[in-house]
Amino acid sequence: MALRLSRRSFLKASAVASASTLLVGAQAAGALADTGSAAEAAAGNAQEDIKVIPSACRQCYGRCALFGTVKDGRLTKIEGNPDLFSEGTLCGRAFAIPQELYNPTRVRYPQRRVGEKGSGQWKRITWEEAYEEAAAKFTEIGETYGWHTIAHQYGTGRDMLQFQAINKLWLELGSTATFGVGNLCWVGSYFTSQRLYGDETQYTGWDGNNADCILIWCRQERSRGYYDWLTVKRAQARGAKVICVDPRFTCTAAKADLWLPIRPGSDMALVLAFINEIIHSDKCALDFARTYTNAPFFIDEKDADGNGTGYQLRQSLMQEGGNEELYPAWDEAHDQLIYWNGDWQDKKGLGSEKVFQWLDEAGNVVADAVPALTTPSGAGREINGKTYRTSWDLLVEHVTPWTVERAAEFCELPEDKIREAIDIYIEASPHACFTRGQKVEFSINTSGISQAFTIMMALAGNFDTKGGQNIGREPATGYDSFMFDVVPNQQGRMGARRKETAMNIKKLSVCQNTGYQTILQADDATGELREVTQNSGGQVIYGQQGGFGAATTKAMAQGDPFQIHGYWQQTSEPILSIEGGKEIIEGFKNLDFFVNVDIFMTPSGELADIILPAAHPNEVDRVEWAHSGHGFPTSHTYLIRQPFHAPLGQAKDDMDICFEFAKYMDVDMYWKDKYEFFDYMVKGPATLPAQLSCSSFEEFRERVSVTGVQMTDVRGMPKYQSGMMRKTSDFRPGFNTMYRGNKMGSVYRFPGTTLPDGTKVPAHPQSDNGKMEMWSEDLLLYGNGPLPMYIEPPITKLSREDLLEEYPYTLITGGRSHAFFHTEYRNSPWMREVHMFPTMDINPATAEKLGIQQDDWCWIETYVDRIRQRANLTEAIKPDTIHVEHDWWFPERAATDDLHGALDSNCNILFENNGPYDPAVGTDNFGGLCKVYKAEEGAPDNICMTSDDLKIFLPLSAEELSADEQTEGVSMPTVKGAK
Amino acid sequence: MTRNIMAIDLDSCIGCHSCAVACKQENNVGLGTFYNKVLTIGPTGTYPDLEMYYLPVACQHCDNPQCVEVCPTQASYKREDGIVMVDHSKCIGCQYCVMACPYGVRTYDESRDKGVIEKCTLCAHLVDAGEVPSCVRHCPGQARFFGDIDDPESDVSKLVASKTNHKLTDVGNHPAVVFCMDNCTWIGDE
Amino acid sequence: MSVQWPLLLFSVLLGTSSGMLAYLGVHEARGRRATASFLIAVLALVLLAAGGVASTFHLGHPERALHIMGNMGSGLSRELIGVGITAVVALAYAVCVRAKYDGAARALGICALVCGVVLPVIAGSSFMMASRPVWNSFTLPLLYLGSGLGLGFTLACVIACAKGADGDERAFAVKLAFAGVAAAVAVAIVWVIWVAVAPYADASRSVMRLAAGDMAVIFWLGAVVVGMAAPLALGFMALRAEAKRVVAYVGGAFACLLVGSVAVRVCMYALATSVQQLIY
Repeated sequence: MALRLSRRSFLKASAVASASTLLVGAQAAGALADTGSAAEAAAGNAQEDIKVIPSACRQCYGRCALFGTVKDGRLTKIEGNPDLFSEGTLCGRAFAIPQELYNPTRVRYPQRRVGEKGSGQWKRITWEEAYEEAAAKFTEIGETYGWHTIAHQYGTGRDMLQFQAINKLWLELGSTATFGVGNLCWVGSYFTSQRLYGDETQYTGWDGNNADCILIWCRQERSRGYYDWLTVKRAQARGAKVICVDPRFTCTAAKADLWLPIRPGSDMALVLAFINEIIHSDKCALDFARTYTNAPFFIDEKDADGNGTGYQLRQSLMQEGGNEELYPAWDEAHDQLIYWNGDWQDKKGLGSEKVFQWLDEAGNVVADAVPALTTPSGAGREINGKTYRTSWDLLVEHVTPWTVERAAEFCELPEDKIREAIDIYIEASPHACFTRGQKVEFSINTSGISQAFTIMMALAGNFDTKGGQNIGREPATGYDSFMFDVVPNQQGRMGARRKETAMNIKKLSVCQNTGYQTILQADDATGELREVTQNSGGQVIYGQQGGFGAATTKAMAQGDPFQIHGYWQQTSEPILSIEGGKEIIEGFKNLDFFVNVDIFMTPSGELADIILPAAHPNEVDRVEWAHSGHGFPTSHTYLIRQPFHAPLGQAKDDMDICFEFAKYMDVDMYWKDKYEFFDYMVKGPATLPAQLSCSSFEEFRERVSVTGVQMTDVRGMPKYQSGMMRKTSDFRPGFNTMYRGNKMGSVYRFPGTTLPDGTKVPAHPQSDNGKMEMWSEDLLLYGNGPLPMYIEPPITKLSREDLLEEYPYTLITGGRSHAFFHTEYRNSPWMREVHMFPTMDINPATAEKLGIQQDDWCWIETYVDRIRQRANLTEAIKPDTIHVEHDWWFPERAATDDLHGALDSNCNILFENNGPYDPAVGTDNFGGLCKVYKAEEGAPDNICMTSDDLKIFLPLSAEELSADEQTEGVSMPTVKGAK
Repeated sequence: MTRNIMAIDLDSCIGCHSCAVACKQENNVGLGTFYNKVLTIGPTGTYPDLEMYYLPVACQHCDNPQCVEVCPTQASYKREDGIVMVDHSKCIGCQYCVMACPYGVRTYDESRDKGVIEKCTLCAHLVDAGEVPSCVRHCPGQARFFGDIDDPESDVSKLVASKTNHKLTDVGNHPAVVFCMDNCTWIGDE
Repeated sequence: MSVQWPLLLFSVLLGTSSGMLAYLGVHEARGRRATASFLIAVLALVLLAAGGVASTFHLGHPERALHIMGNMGSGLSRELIGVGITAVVALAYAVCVRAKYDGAARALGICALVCGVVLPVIAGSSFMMASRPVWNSFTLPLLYLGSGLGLGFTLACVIACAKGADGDERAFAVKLAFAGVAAAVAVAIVWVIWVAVAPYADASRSVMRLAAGDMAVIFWLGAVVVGMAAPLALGFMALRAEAKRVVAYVGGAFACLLVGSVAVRVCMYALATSVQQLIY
């Protein structure tokens, strides 16, 4: 038999195959369309034996395209869809979908707790009972204590649409506090790039397809979209250089052309050295800085006597009656003072014609103005008897001491390796791109580091270039999930309670006491670390919604600043994923009423009063897209995620639950149901080219996917030049800056607010002027910067010498594993079999010194607490460093057995939650110092130790599912005879 | 003649274990049994001067398979296209082949088809239907190639021709699977 | 590899049985039928059958055993045939001895000698696999042969002496037993030397694992002290002992050899790691 099927011809062959399977899928879709309910569709299609349904994976942020084979209403097989960006590839987690769907730990019917909290005793109730009880209890709490005493929480469900529904429901209800999820990761970068230039970049839109250098900062090929590796390897094959910055010798490091084994937490020193070298190279994007950033603007510096505002200079600060929207700069072409007119909203009467232009003193447009980046010798220019420096002067002054030599010292890296990396990056620019993982962000300086990365990319000239950074998300149809809330708000449909809460947020936020904190900051001139007091901005970044893990924990557990009484949690597990899990347990025990919506029984779910069964992501309809990372076309593609079958039992789509509960709570969700929003989203704006627009979600379902266009290609110029960065639809060249100032609301940023130290927040103008900020007035208002500062993490060898004797090893956490996604898949037999135990990486030399052997269970102890993980001896980690995995629990342990083993190996209990935090987004510190020693008692009790033990998690058969209607709760499997 | 083999580009393999799980689904492999697995080789050297690669391992479908030689019942056999198979209806479960295999990739499976030998079939059922093995189809690194090594135009032949070739230790069995790697130092005998 | 107890038992029983048949054969070749030769032959047959039964516990599907003749190139198939022939020879010999067909018995006795030597060699050589370096040499069939001779000769000697073998025969039987013991000890030492020099060296199959590793207790106590030193000493004492003590000494030597053979085989399995152990 001759088999001459190459990969390519195979892809073609399966493309044909998939076309036919699409037809099958379309039939299924038709049935769904007719009935509007997946359940009825499944019933109606009963005569069809086998269906192959195109859908998307939601097991990580990659959203790989796949097909599900459904036999007799049961998913039997997952296969990759070769027609879309994931090219038919799938990682192991995708194949675990059936094991999730039919998992014995799944909640399939609403449950009410009947025993003590954590007793694991439940009784099935009806949806009506659950909704009615929840509505009554929440209303009682809201009316008795105030609606802000109900917290709500959303985990990284990787589903931006249900996130919108949950948020809208609870913001409208007046809830403010959350544990947060994004502020553990992603939000630092997202928030910062929104403030600096109006869109996200650091995870999205890196154009590896055309890059000559890919700089990968602390990112493994694991957490989201393995297909990104295909881009990287093809770039390498093309001759592009890959640089990896990571303390650990990860897969990425092994594949990279250059690996910088950086000291954990010292990243800022390296980025500042990058910026320094870029600024002093001939590649520095001076024209970009001059034209599109605030670099030429003068700064009204605060002097030693406290004179000066510290903000960007405005005409109004220079002269009586001056205009607040005019930003002075010096015109090199005509040796005159000129003013940038930022008044695009015509608030200050500067008209619309002259907006975003340089004006002279008389108000005339100076078309050929050349704003000076710097002042004579960088020492300032005298204007009206006062000397001002430009923001560029300050930036240059700030980064110049951050030499390669200093970075080498801070980062414990060889100078030549740093130089080589910087040279490669500068050499390849403007065809160099940057992509990062979340770990850099797990720090109290997450917004600062994101600002530094922005400056690095911008000044290297990589914004919106081929092979650089595609800045600004371009959703396939132009509309993304945020429109869920934006549209009703634009139409004035914001509820009264939400408005009132937003107005009074400074009294209603759990962040109101997080104002001042001591941090260890490096002095620019000397590089010495010194204690400074940082004025935190209150960490209210989404307007009314505020809070982050520690703040909400303190409110629940200690009543600080107020007691939280009610709690609605959906697809999240804070006990495992937030620092200080033990205190979170205390907090949950304090709650008067707690509703948990989830797919499975979880540690925190055991402390809830009511559990609502959520549908699995492959049991619901969604518009899906690869959320973080990825270049074109991935970043521009919407694809269908549609159900393989109706939700098991009485489980419901998370979005539907929100819409239904909204009715019980009398909340105006604006959209009739999820489909109305999906229709809106896939249709796009009227200006959308017809071929990208779907008349309805049902048409989208049949098309399976839509891939949008890159506006840089369409317009033949960067988006900031063509006006495509402007979300205001005025299409003026420049950036989107509408989020700056007070628009999103915050605690301490309202002028006139009294700070804890008694001073009043002075009036300040908003810098909504179309310019990208490098020196950032906006971040300054949050307590950062205004320039990215080196801050030593609070628990390192440098910052806590006092701990070193007892805790000599640097502890890092959170490296991703192939088998899991944060807390998920510990109940999946296949994933656990591939990765059975929580694993601590330790250098063999260190292990030998400590008498630790491969696979020994060890205690990892910090000054806060201790956990057990199993030792893996590897050179991939530095001898003085220990890495432990995050978010471990053991669903095989009973609820009464330490809440399903939530504390045995959970690394987040090793850190305290008392600050300092990132001033803008509240990110805590997740690294520290530890000691390690062999656990003589071995593994935790009652956990799966062998493949055989994992049989308890094998999928339930259709008969087993129908036989168990969970009238007495979910019968959680345990391992018999386990240690 | 057709000689179907697997070639793996180790420079592309990211050690994600997807193949191990894809295989479990496709071949209904029980818990405790693996047709294939991914080993981490290294890191070798001393931090930070390190090298590391991943080695996906399974039956090597040898040219001179020792398992076939020792099988007393001809349950283990080599197909004309080179795939080494086990006919479960003939297998008496003597595990002789398990001993004779130099690589420890065969197992006596008690979890599914009790009392017989299990191992990688290169998804022969898919190959016969004109498809490629599931691990090849789904490999996130697109590191796995399957096809006719006697056809110089096949992707397998092209990969093998383009990179340094390595094989597992050959004790006379002549393993057929080719490991292609240029970027790391191969650890072990050839 | 983990210890395959059914196979281990099979090989010990097969070896003992073969040694006993060789013992009978040697006597026939010398022209003097051994005392209790019928009993020894029947016992050899019983041990062989018991070994065969034990070996089926290793099989997943013994009911398909008929397929075994499918591949004559397979050591297992050869082994099965060897066992069959040997059983027939042993049975025929026993029948002839009982029926006093002296000529036939003598001829069959020579056959039994051949079987007794060849069968352990076949059994041992079936484990000569390129995949398992510590098995892959002539030292393995030699090990099987030597331990078989030791076990069989001592056991047969004990039976013969117990059944009243006279002075001359007893003296010869004891010498034979001692020779068997010496052979068993010698081949065990030869195999250990092979372990030390076998190709594809690896810690899992190194002689150090026997000498000072996890197998050290079994090796030194089981294989060396009980399996080598003790039978040699007892055999030596038997050579000089008075008649009434011979049974005890040779019997003790047999018991020690038995323990030693098991210990050596346990080591043999434990060290039989494959050239590359990738999944299992």
